[in-house]
Amino acid sequence: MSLAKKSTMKIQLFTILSLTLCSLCTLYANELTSTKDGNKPGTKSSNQNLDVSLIANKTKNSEMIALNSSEAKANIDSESFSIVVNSNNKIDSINKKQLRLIFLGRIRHWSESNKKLNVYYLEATSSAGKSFLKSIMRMTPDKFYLYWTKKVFSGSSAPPTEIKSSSKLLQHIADNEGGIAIVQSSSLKNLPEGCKVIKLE
Amino acid sequence: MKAIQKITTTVLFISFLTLCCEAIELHPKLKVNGYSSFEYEYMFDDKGKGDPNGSFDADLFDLVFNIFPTDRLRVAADLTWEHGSASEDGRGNVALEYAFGEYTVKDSVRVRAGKMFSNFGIYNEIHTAKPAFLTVKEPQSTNKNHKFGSGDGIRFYPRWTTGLAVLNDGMHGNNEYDWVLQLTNGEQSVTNPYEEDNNSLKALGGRFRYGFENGIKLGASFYHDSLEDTTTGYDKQLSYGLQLEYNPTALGFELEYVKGTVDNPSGTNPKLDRWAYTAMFFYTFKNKYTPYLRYEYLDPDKTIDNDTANLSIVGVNIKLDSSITWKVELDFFSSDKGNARFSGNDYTEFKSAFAIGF
Repeated sequence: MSLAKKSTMKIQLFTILSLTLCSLCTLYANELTSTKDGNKPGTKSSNQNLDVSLIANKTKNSEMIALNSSEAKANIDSESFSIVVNSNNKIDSINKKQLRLIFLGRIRHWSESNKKLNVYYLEATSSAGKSFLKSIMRMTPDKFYLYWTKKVFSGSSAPPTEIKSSSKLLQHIADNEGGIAIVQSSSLKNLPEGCKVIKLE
Repeated sequence: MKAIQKITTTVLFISFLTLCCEAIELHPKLKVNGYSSFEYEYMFDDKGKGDPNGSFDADLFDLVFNIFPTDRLRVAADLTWEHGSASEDGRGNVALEYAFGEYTVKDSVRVRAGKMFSNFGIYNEIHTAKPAFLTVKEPQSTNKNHKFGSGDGIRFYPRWTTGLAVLNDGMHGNNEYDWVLQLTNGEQSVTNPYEEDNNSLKALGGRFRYGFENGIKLGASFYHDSLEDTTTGYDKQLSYGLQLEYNPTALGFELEYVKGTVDNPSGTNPKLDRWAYTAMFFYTFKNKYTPYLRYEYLDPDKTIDNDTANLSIVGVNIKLDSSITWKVELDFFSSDKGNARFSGNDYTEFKSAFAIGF
């Protein structure tokens, strides 16, 4: 087979494969947009615009944060998350932007005490983790992992620590003055000494 | 040699303990992460620069350390063992990808000193971290041009560099930005550039990135160096790059453009002028499958008509679980006859890799 013919065949093969992939992607994208809310890729979906509201918790010194949607309210026990810091920390509240910047690694120290922030969160694929990532970080767990994979392996920053157990996570906050953690609100029933819940403004 | 073996054994042992023992892993002053990649490559054609035998490759195993001696100081290091390193047999490669100290002056400003990646474009800082990108290899035209037909053997910028850096990041409304400036020894082949420069003029590099709230990220990089390389005759080097990234939802694309010049006063071509670009489209569905298409192009010398090379890749990245991905792709290499590496021998290569991040 001549070189020219061989090259032509490869170009044809590449074109066919490319077109097939593009077609599949387009079909799947159309399927998604028709079955969901009709938003085009790249625009904000209704899920991304969910407001975060504060809902009084049954526990004494805490407030629960839940997604302000009927679906979220229906599953409030499993999906709501709270923000916990060490009880020696003087802050009582934090706003959404600050919280996002902390978990993006852009805020690295507590402004009040100058102490280094040690950031923990309940595993991203847990219901509370997903709820936090969706409402505050505007990311899926996969995008959050990828964001930190790039940052860590490029030497840019150390990652927040993911912990599977709420009790272990709370113990780390109790032991660590610079700690901040996202936990499932239901785990606050057993809030250990040395931890306190702060409000999300 | 014994000392190196002892240090390696100690590091691996500590890392093993760290990975196995949550208490050490979660110590606020030490974090250990890492990644590994196992690959297979097979070239279908007889001629070409691929692997006609179909070989497995224990590509790399890296450990990444972040140590915090104080609240403001971070020491970071990436140790790599490549291609099944066996120093006794002189096989593979053991290297320090980076090792630096970083002092946080305030949250938005950090100062760094040590060996580090050149902050240029999208891929240079993550080029060994296979879990951090979709394809089996990073783009060759823009990141490995010396292996893609640049006969001069000079990259657009060095992969690693030693010196000082200032880093800044912040918010502009709801948009994010960051920039970095590096003053370093630069690159040359006369001395070890991570220890001693061969000239008094330092290299200067930098990058600015701006991310819009809607997911579009733009960036620009530059690198300026005085090579004064007595071996090759190369002198001043200047490169700049532009990048565009967009991946707010399942659909995404990347575009990177690099242009560079190298002076060679004593050579037949006193000013080497070259440029390259990479474009990639991808789409993720079911949170698991990400098919991708990438096209790369390099013109290694604008004064020569028939030396270009290009690479078209079609593949899929499959996420097997949160820490392992499987990559399968076909790479179609094509070049002009004057290309220093490929010499017009077009070929197709099958590549597959398992990439693990932890």
